[in-house]
Amino acid sequence: MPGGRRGRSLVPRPVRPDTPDRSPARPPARSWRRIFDDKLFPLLLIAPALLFIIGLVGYPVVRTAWLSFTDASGIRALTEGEMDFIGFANYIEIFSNPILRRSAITTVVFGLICVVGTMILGIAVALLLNQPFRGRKVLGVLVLLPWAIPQIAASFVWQWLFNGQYGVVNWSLTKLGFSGFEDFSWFTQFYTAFAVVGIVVIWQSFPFVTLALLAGLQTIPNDVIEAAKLDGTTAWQRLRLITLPMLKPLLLVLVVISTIWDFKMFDQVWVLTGGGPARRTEVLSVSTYVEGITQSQWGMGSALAMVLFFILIVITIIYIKLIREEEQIS
Amino acid sequence: MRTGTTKALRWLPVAAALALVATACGSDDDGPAATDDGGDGAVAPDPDGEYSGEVTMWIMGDAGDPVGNSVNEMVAAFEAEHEDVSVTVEYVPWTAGKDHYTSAIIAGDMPDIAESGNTWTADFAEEGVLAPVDLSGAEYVPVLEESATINGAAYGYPWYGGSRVLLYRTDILDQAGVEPPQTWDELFEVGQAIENEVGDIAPFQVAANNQHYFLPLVWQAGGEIAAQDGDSWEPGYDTEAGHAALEFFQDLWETGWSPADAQTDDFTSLSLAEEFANGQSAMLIALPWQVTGIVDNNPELEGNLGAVIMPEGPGGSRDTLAGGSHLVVFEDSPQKELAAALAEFMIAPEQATSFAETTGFFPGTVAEAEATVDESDWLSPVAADQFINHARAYPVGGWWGAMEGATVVKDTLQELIAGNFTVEEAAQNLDSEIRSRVED
Repeated sequence: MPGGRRGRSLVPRPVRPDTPDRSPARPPARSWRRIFDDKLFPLLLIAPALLFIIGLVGYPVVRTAWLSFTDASGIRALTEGEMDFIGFANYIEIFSNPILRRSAITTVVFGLICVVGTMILGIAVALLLNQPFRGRKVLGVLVLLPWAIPQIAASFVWQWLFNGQYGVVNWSLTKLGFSGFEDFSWFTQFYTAFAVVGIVVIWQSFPFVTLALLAGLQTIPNDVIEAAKLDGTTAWQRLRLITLPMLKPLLLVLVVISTIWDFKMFDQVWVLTGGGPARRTEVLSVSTYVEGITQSQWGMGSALAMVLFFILIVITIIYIKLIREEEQIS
Repeated sequence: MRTGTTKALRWLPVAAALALVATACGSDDDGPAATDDGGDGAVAPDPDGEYSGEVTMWIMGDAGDPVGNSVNEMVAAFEAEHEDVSVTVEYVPWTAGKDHYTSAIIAGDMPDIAESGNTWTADFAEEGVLAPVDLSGAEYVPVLEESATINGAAYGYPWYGGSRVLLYRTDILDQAGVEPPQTWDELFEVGQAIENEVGDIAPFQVAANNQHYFLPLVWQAGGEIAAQDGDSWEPGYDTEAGHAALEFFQDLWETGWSPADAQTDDFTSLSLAEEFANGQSAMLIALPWQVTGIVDNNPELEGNLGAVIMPEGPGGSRDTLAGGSHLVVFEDSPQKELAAALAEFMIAPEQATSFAETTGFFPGTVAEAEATVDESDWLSPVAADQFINHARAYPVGGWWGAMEGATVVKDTLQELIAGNFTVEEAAQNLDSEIRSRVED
């Protein structure tokens, strides 16, 4: 579970004002009451939360990490602990096995493409909705709809749209004169399959970006924009030099959230291609499920989950660095 | 393809017996160990027939389908006969079935009695979670009894079964002026005639994700999926018969009769049935009970359907898979005798006959299976001939569950029809995957 570690890093730490140290000078004699107040009481207060985090996040992560170094597979491995320690063999397998290696590379490359697509579309639509025009509110609600539809349901709808024989996409393209699309199978080839998956992912994730940026755009003082206009700037210059820099902290957070979502993507790929044909369209989350659950290879499934976990950790660390630089500048 | 690097599910009779003692979650239940001959430890209903208590039963599918309806009636009748007994039925969808059972076994949270797909029973039995049962009370359909029998002991009551047959459109074949195909070669000839004389309908379609059609082709070609030799198994695809099966499948694909989407994972036997129901194809391999659904979807097909048993391969065989279910009793159940009594009640003649009428399956006992054949029907005698005379079980060994659960067959066929594998490579791949699971 990559979930637990990122909670603390998503929100930029507030810059602490320089307040004078208000703690009184330590009295010469140590009293039990003071020790209780200073040391034990805070621990007691966080103990319930800590227990939950250790139980629900700490244990699963440690257990997964441990399993990833074993050859655990089949029912007996879990009921009776019948497994052997095999070091890094699972990890070596991931990077030497063509299916799993392709899955890892696809996760990173395709994930990044989706993030870029989501951000560009999200920014563009937010800027559009920030303009005064008739029907803006209606459009604003419509834009949110893809986000409101459950991912599985939406993926099934898209699958039908791109169905080879009965899909409306092939029908439209054929009617428009592209006869090559008659009975064209989108989900058979790697690139066409991921083109469709990419459309679905971006379509589902850009509304959140738009919504967040729209709120951000409202916070930019109007007089800054007006002043820039008086200086004779073009719209593109205002976007590049004023709007985007002022939204930078928000954009950073959105990029990280999108990255985590898109790297973990499962539903869309699972519904649209199932990882096939011949496991050629898997991403890490799908490989984890296929190896770990449907084939009961707990060790290999855990190793795949850990690889995804580390990819996300690396991205989170880069994010923390960027945020810190941001804090230092301001 | 990934070859398993891990060892699992190794069959050792002694270990299985120990496994029964050290059961899941470390509970210290002292269940009787599965003995080698099975007869002594087998669970059987109490001859007095006095029961009380609660049992939980898992049935595959959902409460609203024909099997579910029939089960609900049986349970009500059983509860009426035994006033102090309460039966809770839980339904498990087929698609997630194996995972559901596996999770329950790991968690030590099994029901008392359950329906088990007949290709799973060996796997569960080797895990040591099933109680041996006594099958001396009736004569069971041999192929269903065979798939419940592991090292001489029976671990499931044969409940029902059925086998795929070749359905065809009588109107289309008449129009093409041909008779239904009896051999592999005739399948191509009939298909060619339909293409020439009728057009606008695919004669016969195949899909990569339809392993229960593909796997038995090797039998029809005169070979074995895997031949047992004592404790070892010799895979059978990298042989003359195995190559013939793969070539036949490849040739069927290359006719261009199947849609391009049939290479994908989503295109399954159900999609093929939809194509047939939509009037897109003229012949279909299907289970007899699927006919009801097909006619419901397209009433115009009523009266235009015929059936023959599977076309004969070069090996002179028309065998296909005997699909079906067992009723299994779990070793950890505190109500094993009651569970066995419920199972025997469900397969007794009265219930079995009504079950067969409602669902279209064959009961697991020979007498009731024969009694359900309606000689005047176009389908029933063909289905019976296929199931009783031309049906076989997949290799009966715990390793087969892992083979069937993996995506190996689908992946291999997808690579074959995409041109990434030659027939030889596909055959070698299947054999090495079988071998790696046998050795695990």
